[in-house]
Amino acid sequence: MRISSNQIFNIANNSIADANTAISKTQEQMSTGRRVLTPSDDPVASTKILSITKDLADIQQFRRNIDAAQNNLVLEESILNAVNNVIQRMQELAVQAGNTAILSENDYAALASEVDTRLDELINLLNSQNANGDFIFGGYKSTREPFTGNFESGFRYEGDEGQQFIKVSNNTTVAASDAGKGIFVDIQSARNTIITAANPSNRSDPAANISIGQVIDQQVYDEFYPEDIIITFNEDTNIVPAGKNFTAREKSTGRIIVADQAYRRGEEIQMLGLSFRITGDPASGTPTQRGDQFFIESSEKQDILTTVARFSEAMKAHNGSDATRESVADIVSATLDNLSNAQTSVLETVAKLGARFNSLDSTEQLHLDSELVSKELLSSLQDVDYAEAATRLSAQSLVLEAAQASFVRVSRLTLFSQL
Amino acid sequence: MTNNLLGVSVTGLRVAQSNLSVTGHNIANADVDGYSRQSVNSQTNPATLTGRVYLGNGVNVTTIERVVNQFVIEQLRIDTSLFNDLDAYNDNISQLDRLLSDSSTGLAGSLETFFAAMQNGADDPTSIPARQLIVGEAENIADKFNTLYERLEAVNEGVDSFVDSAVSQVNALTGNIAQLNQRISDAMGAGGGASPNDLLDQRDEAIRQLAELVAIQTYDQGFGQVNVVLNSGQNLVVGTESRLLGVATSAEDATRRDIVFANGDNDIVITNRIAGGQLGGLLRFRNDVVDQTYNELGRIAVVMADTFNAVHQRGVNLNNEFGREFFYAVNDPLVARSRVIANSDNAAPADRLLALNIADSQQLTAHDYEVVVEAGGLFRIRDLDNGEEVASGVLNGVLPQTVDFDGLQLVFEAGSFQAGDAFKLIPTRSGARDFSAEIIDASSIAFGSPLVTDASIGNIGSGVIGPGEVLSLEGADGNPLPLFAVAGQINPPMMVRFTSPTTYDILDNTDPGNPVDLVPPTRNQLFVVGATNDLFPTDPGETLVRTNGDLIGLPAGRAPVVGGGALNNAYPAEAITISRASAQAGVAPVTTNLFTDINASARQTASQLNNIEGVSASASTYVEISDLQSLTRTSPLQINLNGEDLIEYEFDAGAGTFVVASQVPDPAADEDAFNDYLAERINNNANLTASRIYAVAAVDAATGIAELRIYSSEGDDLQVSLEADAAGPDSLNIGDGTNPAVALTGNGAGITSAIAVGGNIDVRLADGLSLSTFPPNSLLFGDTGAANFAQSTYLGIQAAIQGVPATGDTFTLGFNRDAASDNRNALALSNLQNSGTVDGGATSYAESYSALVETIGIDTAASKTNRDASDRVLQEVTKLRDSVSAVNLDEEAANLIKYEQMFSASAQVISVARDLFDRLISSF
Repeated sequence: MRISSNQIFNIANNSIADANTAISKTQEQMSTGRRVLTPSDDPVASTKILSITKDLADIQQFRRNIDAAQNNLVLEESILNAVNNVIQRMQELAVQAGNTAILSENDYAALASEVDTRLDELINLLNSQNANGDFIFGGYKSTREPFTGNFESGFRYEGDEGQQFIKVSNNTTVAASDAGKGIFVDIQSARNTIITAANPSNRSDPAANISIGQVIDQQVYDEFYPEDIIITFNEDTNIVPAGKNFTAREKSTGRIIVADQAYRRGEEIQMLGLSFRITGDPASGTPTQRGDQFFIESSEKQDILTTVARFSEAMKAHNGSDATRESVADIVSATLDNLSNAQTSVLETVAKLGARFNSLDSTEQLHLDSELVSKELLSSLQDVDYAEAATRLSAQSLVLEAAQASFVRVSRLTLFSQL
Repeated sequence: MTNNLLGVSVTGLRVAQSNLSVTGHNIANADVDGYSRQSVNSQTNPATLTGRVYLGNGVNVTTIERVVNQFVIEQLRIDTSLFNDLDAYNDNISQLDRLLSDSSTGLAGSLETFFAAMQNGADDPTSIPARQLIVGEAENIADKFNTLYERLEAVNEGVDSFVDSAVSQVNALTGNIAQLNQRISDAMGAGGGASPNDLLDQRDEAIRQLAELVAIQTYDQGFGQVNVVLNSGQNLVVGTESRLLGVATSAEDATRRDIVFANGDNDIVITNRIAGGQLGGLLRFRNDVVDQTYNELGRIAVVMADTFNAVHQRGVNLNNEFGREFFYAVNDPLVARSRVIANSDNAAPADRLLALNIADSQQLTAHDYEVVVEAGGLFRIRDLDNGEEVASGVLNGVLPQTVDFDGLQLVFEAGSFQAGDAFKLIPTRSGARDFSAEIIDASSIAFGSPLVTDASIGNIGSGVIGPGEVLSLEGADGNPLPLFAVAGQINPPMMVRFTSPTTYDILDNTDPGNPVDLVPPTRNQLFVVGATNDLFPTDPGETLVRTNGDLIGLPAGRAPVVGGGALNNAYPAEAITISRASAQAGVAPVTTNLFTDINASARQTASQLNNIEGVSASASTYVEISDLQSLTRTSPLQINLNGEDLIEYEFDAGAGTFVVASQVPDPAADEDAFNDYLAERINNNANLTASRIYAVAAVDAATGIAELRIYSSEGDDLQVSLEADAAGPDSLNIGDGTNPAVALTGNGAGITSAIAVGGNIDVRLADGLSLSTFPPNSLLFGDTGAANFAQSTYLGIQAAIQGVPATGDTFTLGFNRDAASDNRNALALSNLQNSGTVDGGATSYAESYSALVETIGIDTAASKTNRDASDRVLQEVTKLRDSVSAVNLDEEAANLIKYEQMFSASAQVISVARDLFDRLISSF
């Protein structure tokens, strides 16, 4: 075949350019450590690389989530343990207080003062906050104290049943909190009790309140139990002289318990073995609108704070008389039952936490394993094999050098130099 | 003879000179593109007959020709076009390949960090810094979308500006070719047919350069002229004339540049006919790759904004408000209108207003569409990617009019639509540009769910209510659901009250002192112990139909049956039709007819209805017995409910007769106690409880009158009979709670006064079903044509109760106020990361993006392979051409020596001739 002078130069140009491209590619691979620089280098591998990279990022996030969940749960567990210690101390005190035959008024006063201290400690524990300042036992409503109240007013749970979940793997979430309601409020009580509330749609402003109230004659109340009571304020003119008055009805049947009772602000109201107070100025009924309403709901549950407060109150009321002695004995036995129920509830929650810790640990282990596998796979897909790349580089340099050298030699071969 | 010798040698000299000058020409042009080496063709001069011999007359130059192989030249042209096409395509797609996969410009990394921030937020919902990070990452992801869009725009503009310059190059080259045609035919004419080699080379080179830009064919026109046509047949050069190409704005899409044949006012668009060469490669890149990338990227942006907003709006933020848009609103009127491009050829006036809304982002394709209005207001919508018609309809003249297809909703808003109007629909093209983060304030990120559930602390049973969730804020018709109509509220709050361990009512708990029925009422729902009981319907199209007819219950005019005889509820026979609307317009609905028996109980009718697919009917019966104080507590007093005697008798040994048992209270003295007694008798009766009949003694809230309420949860007829003393004014009243009561009076021993009361039926109809009766105004169902006859039951929320609730247990559902630690919606938002949202729910955002990267990657790899292959072919053909036509300097050097020697020889011959002549002269 005839060769033109152009061809000699073109061949040299092309082969040197090709060799240069190959070398620079190999060099880029070696300096970045990656075999696949753009998806077009290996489209199939690069899709896998994208998805594995995403999996790895997910795993890292899940491990951070697991840490967060563990932190929350560790805090909760430590508080529950402290609560349990308080309950145990309270049980000792209750057992001690059971010696009604021996203990004097002064002994009871001393016992009550320790119970009060412990109660304060308990309230603080139940209103514990985490590093963010969230009340950890408030359910979703973590911005305000979930347990409010005092001896006089009684105690109320202001939180909800909300439970926070944290995502620890693609398809698993783990509870990272427990609402105080389930642990400290929803506790089976030895005695039937009540829960009071004002109707949220009441019109009075400032809103009239109902105290937490208590059962003063268990026998009478037990007969009425499990019915609920609705107290409705009537038109002022229902009584003479006209004034605020209310009617109490059985909720389920609408039957009247007491009708048209005159209302005196803050005065203790007693009915069906219950005692409670309504404070403020409840709105009276009008011909078109009913007046303010208050609910007294029967319950067989009692929160731990009320249990302790009742215990303390009974001891403080001890005046040496047989009646108060009996009442203390009565309360002590109820308190012991209630405390043991509360302890069960706390310990059950601690056990649940243990189960969650286990599940977090095993999930984290799973993540570590799959992270290792994914990393290996990723490396095999995208990392450059240095031995191979180095060999390739030297082969490519050899080609380049050969191309350069041969061009120099060939280009020298011209007849004109002989003329 | 000397003369002849001189002449012959001069011809030799001349030929040698010609050869030397051609060799010099070859050497001088060795490096000129497209130059073909030339060679001299010589011919022996005709011999002269001298006496009896022919004496040679030397040589002459016949032609100087260029050494070419026409086949190779044409092959070179074809391969040049092919290579330049693939090379331009490969150059550009490689840019995208890097752009999309690069960790700093690609989307993949931003999606990961965004969702990581979201999960951090979910871990710690009250933390403001964690929320702030989400705001930052949301902006970052919006930046990524916008930047990618801008880069695509830059690539697109690059293509456009190249098209501009390529078109002017094509014009210059075709002009040049036409001119060369002229000069060549002139030169051939002047030279008497001699080949103007250098001009031919120039023309071949010009044609080859044209082939770099676009694929062409040539054919010979005669007179040395060559015509050039596009591969698709359009003439570019005819003889000495060239046609000008131009660039114009596309009529269908003003953002597009079209290539046209300049033809006065009437440009002919030839964009689609251009193939091969750099122009062909770039146009192919623009159509196949850039458009697809715009749309795929835009689709991810639209789907992400839409799905994310939907979930975010179902949540509640730290300020107790429903979440607002997290990313841009995909159906913002301005954005929706920008998705429709009117054809600039549409008839004046340009008053048409259309909007393209995203109806269901999951169903979106990455295609563009075209709407064409035809005569009679008929319009057709065509998918521009596969040419299929996706929807059609007739403009009925009432605007706005909508049409739905492929997850989109096209709204003809206003304007005078005329036959011939065309509009291009680009649902996803600008998605990545429009994408923006709307969330600015960290506290307005909606992490909580608006719904909070609560079990009453007074509950005796062990029933547990789940946290519940919001399913949607909009009903089947797209309008906001009434439950969420008021900001920061769930209206009404609800209460679930168990009327028995296996039945519950759901009530409006706006006033907890007096819960009332929801609209429509949800009463007497069946609770299955041991299962998770969902409280609300999940079918957005479900409706409820109730028995509101004149003859339901105990209507006025019913009289007791005295002294025995058939007891019936006096319900008429009814013809009921259930129609299932067809999914296709214009197709008749499928109907199912059923006929109820005369006096059929509500339970029987409900059971018949339940046999129809999509229909769920429940029946219940209610009576209240009041005014029992006139009853005398002596024999023969007996009240009987569904065949069960309620008043106990005992044997009085003294009198030797049966008398009313001592535990039966005296209704005259204590009506409440008597009612309690009756209720207890009913609730303890095995036969009655087995058929789910129970009773409650209560007081009427309005009148204060004591009453005994009797319920049948299954909708059995309730038959009450009284046997009492005739002498006294013994009587009792029976009512159904709405109609006036009917009195049963005593008629003496052995004679009963009895009445049967029928029940109500609640019929729940699945989406698309409707219930009608004949006649339409039914005595059982009421006016089936009334506007509110079938009421939607869909509330947009769901919650479940499980465990073992007890009678009287209550659960409440309300607005989740101040729930700072609620992260339910944050988890739902995080879950969007890996859920199937794009392409009919097949892929997640990230998967969809990597599919795009992969497609471009594969395309780039393939185009690189093709480019390299065609490069190799081009090199081979170039080699072939060079091997035939290009100059070899060594060869020319040899020629130089050869022709120098020839010249010397010829010169020597002249010298010999002179010698001969001199010798001859001197001899004289």
